[in-house]
Amino acid sequence: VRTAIPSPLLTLILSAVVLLVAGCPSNPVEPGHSPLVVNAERTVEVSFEAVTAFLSAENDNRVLVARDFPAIHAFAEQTRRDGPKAFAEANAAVRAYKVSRTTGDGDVMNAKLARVQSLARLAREYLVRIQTR
Amino acid sequence: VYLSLILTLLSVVERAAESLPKIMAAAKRAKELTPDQEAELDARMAAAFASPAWKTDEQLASGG
Repeated sequence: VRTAIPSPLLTLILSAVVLLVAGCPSNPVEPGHSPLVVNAERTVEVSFEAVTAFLSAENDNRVLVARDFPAIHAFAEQTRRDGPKAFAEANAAVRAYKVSRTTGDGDVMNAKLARVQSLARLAREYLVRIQTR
Repeated sequence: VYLSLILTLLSVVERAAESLPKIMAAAKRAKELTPDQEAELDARMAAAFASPAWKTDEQLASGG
């Protein structure tokens, strides 16, 4: 049971979905808008959706994941505790930079973005791992 | 057992697919968010954080 991949077709579908979630292409930024800000806003939103997709799937199978993937469940629980603050701080940092456009605020913004990107990267990895038990 | 595996997998696929339209919309956006869009994003996040998916085991057990 623990090594079975029940359906190659479903695995393929899931892999395609996860790849899309991980690396969907971005449109060019319109003139008059800061590429830094637009990409930062995209990063927060895309990361948030990836993390939410992971947590929703984990929640649907919470008992099973806690039993068969304790490390993944622990990550989900940690993300539930810390994630809202991380995303709120990322949003606040982007908006602060949007107003000031200073290097200092830019550095803070990049640090906050790195945090939510890290959550999203792990979320995507674990989303794949749940289906390959 | 296999039914359980398939249901798990379908759930994972479904959840990943649900997020795709929102991700594609964000990726296609070519302008900075307006204040209204920022407020909309904040509201969407707040709603998600209040949903069961974002609740810890302890919060769910206590009905919070």
